[in-house]
Amino acid sequence: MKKITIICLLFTAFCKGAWAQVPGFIGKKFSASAGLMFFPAFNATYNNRENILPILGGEISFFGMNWIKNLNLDYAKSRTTTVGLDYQNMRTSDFVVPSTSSSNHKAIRYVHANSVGVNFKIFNEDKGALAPIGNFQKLGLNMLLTRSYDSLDNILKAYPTKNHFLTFTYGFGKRIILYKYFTFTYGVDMTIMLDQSFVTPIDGNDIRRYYDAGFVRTRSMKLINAHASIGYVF
Amino acid sequence: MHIKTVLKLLFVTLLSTLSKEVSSQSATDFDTYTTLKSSGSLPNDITKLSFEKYKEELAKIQQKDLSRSEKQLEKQFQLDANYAIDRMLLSGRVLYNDPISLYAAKVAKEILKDEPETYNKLRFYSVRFTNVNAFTTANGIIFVNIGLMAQLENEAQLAYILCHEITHYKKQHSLLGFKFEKNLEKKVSKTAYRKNNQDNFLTKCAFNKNQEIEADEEGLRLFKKSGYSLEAIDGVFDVLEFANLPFDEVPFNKRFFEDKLLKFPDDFQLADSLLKPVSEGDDDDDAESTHPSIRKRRKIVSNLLEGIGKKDRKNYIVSKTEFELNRKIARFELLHLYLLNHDYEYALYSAFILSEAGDSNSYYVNKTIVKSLYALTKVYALEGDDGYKTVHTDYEKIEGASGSLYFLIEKMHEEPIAMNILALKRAWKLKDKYPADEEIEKICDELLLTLTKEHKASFSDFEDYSIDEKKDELIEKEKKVEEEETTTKKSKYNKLKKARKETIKKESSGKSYLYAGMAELVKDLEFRKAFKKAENVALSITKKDEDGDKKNKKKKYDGEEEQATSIDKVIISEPFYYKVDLRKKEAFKQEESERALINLDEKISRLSQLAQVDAVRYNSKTFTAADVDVLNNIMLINDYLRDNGQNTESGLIKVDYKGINNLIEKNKTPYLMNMGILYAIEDKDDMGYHYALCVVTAGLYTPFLIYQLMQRNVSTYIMYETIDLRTGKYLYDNTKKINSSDKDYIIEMHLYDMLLQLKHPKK
Repeated sequence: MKKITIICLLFTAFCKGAWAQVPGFIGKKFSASAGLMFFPAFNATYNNRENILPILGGEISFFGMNWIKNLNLDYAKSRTTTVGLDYQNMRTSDFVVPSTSSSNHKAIRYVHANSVGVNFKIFNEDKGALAPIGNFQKLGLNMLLTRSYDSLDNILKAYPTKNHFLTFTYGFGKRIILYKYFTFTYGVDMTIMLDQSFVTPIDGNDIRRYYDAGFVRTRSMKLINAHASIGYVF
Repeated sequence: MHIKTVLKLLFVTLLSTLSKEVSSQSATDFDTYTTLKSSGSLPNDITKLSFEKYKEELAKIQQKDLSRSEKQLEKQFQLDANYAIDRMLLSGRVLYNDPISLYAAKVAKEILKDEPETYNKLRFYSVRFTNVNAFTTANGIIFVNIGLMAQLENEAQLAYILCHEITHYKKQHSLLGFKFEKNLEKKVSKTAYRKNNQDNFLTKCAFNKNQEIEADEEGLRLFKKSGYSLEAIDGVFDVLEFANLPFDEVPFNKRFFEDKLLKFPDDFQLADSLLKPVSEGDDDDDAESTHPSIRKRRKIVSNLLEGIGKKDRKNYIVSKTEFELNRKIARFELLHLYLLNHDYEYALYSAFILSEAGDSNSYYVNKTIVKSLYALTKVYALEGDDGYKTVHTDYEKIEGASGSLYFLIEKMHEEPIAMNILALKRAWKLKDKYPADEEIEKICDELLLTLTKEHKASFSDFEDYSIDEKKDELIEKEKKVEEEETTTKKSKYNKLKKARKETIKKESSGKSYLYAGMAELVKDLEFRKAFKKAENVALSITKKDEDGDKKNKKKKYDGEEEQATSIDKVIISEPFYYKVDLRKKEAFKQEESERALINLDEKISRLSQLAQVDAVRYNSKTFTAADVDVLNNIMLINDYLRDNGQNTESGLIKVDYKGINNLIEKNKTPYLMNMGILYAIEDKDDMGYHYALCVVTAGLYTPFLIYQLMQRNVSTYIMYETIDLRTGKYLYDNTKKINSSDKDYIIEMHLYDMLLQLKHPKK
């Protein structure tokens, strides 16, 4: 929590007020939106648990989509900048935790994650944007709280492996007015997830394996995403 | 009868009597003449939107039995002509229901008494142009310039000009001219051996000349049917031949500006023999002109008149009094127009003519003289030789009697203070007579300030010459005192003071006639006070300027900016909205632009409320017949902008000072916003870069390439500037270029921002 507060303060300090009066969108400086982030998942994507079993020993992959639910609240701090809060909820598809020399147990797991953080959008006035509407570039700093579950074993499922990661996001997109004050935002986000293993206590090899596999899966899911959301300015 | 009814009747009678008196006075009182304005109901010509008119014309074209290409040409003509005419009608130059327009309509009615159908199709409007001209549109509008009305000698001459213009309408010359030109262009583009541009130009000129001759001949037939004097026609050609000269030829003498004290040296008067003679005015060689030479036209018409009985014809049928009244109005109006055009010398000479013609006591005429002298003084003093060149014409180029005035001005320019003193004298005299006139008071203050600040004159300079007979004695006495001072006190400050006095003395040598001319004023206690005040103001300005320089340097260093003005209420006059597609031959999208402009008005109205900025909107696209006051305000603002735009450096008091002050008072704001939007679609930039990226990335870039190919190269420009009407200074000036289309929400967002910046400007 302390970290999040520090991040918020840092971002607020970043945003300098360029004009005494911020026009927003016809005086509306807040923008709330709900949407989805999505991107094709190129490997280790098994949405149907039944299909997992046959491939425990194989390396078969299926095409699928990653979906991240997203809530966002932005506040236009100046003509060209907004500061915002982000909430993301995601569940990875099931993935295989490969066996190692020390453990040959092949587990099937998935990660459920919540992410909270702040973002900072810079709107491009040259392209007619005035925060919070128009073309923007985004910088985000989020805390990703993950729980890794076993997909098959209901007993183990009760004991998820918890972790948290710091993520940095760069993105770009456009927010347009659909009708009156209703908005549609679309764009692309790229997120780098920092490995927290140096601070995470590792209890045993299996935990380490789960951690590594979960990290890789979550990272690949977060790496690049298209996003689209519907919102409202107020 | 009930007592209330009686009282009501009495009240109505009294009101109508009063209003009649007021209207007759305003029409005939040339002492306090007020410039022409539109009145009554606005005609359909300006209340109907351009695209509505265009669609009506299209329907008419569809009914015509014409080939497809002919129809296409006519459609194009209507599109171009409709919008061009509307721009003219709404320019603030055209007057509606003013005395000159109404009089022209009466004369036309007399000419067309046997053709009421034709008369009913025509509309007559006077135009605030100084040049001698009348012109006609294909849809039946005949414009009569104020400059033409001022030059005519009688009603019959106006009648002949109207006959000529009516013929242009009846024969649809402008449409035929357009078709001819387009067909010529088509022919040229198809010809393998293209003629050069000069040949095409000459062909067009020849066609136009034939039309003019036809208008003269057919116009003459129409004219002959009326009872107007045929001899007047020759006079019309005189008017046209000497159109470049003022409306009268009256010898000018420097005595006009002199009085018992102020006498200009003799060499300030140009000898009559040195005046440039009036040239023949027209050349027989009219090959490169769209109009035939006057001589040719005169000859053709006189040939047609041969053998026709000229008896029982009159110069006046409608009314001689009305003609003379309207001509006088036109001449008075010209003074104002010349001032607006910054043609001060022309205004001076015209005012001189009116003075000589019996209006020497007219406050309006005298004020024009003062305003002209004031403007010349300020331009000379503040803009130097460059300014002088822009407002002065070399006397050697001036034909006729007015050359003497230009010569006098040139001589005065040799003594930069001379014009200032002359202007001040005339202004002060007028101020004494009309002490309530704020404008004259302001002019006096500014002239005194120019005298003290720019010409470094001090009150004592004038006091020295106030007793003319003792002038030499005084100079001698002062010399002795100075010599004594030099021998006794040799402090640094005494030396500096002496040096300054010497400079002033040197500057004032040879100016005694000017200094002596002020003797009467110098004795005036009020003048003395005003002079002292001006001296103090000049001192404080100089000090402020020096401090300002220092502060500016400091500000630059500190990165500070000036405090901006917060504006709660603003006048937004005649915004524009142009949509252009530069990829097409007919780039201007007229209908879409007009519709967008109407929407823009609604947007400004709504957004100004949200931004809590009170916006007074003057938009001619939303006119109703009752909006004559709005039209007059637009005219006033357009005049102001023309006046202000031409001369911002010297910060002259605006020509229509009173009108602008009334506008400020009425709207309770001195701020005017000029704004508009331009939306342009252009050809795509070179896509080579994107194709190259596609190749380099082995096709990965393809989605982006497709996106780029789908994109149009569009830009939206939002332009606005805010002017303080009191000073003419531009407060905010901005052009935003947006690389995006002009979607409603984008325009609204930026309009709101623009209005918000007025209220909460950048600190």
